[in-house]
Amino acid sequence: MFDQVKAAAADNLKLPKDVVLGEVLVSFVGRTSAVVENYRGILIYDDQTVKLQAKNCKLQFHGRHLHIDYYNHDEMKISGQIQSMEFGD
Amino acid sequence: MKEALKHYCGGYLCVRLRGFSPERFLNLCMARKIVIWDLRYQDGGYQFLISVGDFRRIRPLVKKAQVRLLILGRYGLPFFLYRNRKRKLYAAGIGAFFLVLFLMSQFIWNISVEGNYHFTDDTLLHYLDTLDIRYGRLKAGIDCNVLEESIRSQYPEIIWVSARISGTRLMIKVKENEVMSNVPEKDEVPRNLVAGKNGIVTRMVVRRGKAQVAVGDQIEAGQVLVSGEIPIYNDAEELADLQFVHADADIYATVSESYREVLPACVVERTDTGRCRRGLRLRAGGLSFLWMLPSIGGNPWEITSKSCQLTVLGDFYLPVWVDQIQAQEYQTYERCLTKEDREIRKNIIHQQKIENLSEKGVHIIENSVKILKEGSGWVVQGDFLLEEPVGIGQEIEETNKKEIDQADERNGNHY
Repeated sequence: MFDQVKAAAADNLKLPKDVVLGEVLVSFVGRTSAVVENYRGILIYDDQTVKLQAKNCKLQFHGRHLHIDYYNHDEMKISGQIQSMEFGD
Repeated sequence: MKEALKHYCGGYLCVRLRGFSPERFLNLCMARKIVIWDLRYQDGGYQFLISVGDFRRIRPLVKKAQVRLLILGRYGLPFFLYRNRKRKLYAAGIGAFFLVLFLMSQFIWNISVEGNYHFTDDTLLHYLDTLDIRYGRLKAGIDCNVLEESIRSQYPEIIWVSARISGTRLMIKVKENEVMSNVPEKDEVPRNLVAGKNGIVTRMVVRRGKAQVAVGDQIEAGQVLVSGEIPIYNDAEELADLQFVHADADIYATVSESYREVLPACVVERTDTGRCRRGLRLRAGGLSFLWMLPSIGGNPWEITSKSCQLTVLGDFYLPVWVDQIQAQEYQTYERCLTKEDREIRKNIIHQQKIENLSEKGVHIIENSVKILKEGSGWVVQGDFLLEEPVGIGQEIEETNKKEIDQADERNGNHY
């Protein structure tokens, strides 16, 4: 209920949802790197898959030679040949 | 860059991670704000970089996540120093480098002057030299305030000076007075205006003096055009006095001018052979070291060099100059001028003459040019009909004035 109110408030006040609701924010630079913000943790990592837990969903990167340039509490940078990204519950 | 430098100074490790739950280990590191970077999956395990300080904090996490860590490499300044701890001369060399750098930083190795238009850099640098401020001078002995005052007092036209030492560079900024400090005195010496050339007067405007010629008159060089002697007559129309003035007039006349330029029958041409040599010259103080291959063959070489002073971090000028030398081999041969060549050279010479006359503000009424054969060579002969100012000032001699004064005394004229 509270989340719905926050979502409605963010919509009406035109506030960024990644700040208000903690939604995951993904930025791609071509298909060679991606920066993920507002994630919670790493679920699976190998050179073909990176699966991350976000607040409301899971997101999974598929590709080749994937590696993590850096990660910390706020953001993570994934490099390599990214082929796809999918969201899951 | 800043992060990389921080990691290098603190030292970092390359670690291989294997075990039951590596993802859990990575999440635990994140939760405890342990920084891990360059994480890769290789050969069924993980490899990452971690700082030495953080590596000491991950022991409890290793047990908790049931993983095993293996150090693959140690990098950074602490490990470099440890590995080279027995190489004393190496350390001494590094120490000597910084010592020399520190000692050299105590001297002025570059002087720059900005904002000067009327006074050249050489003038100001020469004045600084007289104050014993030159390249190689100790920075501690230079008082910028005193230097500013002395420049201002030496050059009153410089109204503002800023002297500043930055690194090993003395920067002097000046502002010159754009308004002229003294108005040039008006020349009032009595004079005549005489013709500088032969010609025919086309127009004239006399401001002071008595005109001796009129428009349309033929004049010869040296002829008085405007006289500076103004006769004063009394009521009986007798000469009462002579006033001497500074004759001033604009007198234009059409004059003929011609020129002759010799064109040789053959000219020496130059052609590059395509071979070139490059080299470097290092100059430090009175020493000079040249790295350049010697010339091969008997052909002449054209050598050009570009000089630059070595700097460290922008303003830290070192007393070392590097010259980039480039030598280009060429051959010379004689070639007789063809008709087209002569025509081109004739046009160039004539065009140059026309430009020179135009720069002087001379009006060209007619011009012609031709090439004449003369001896073994050729001559370019050009003729101009010009309209130009012909009046030249000629001071009235003292003897003339005295004679007139004596004549006045004999006649009993006293003023």
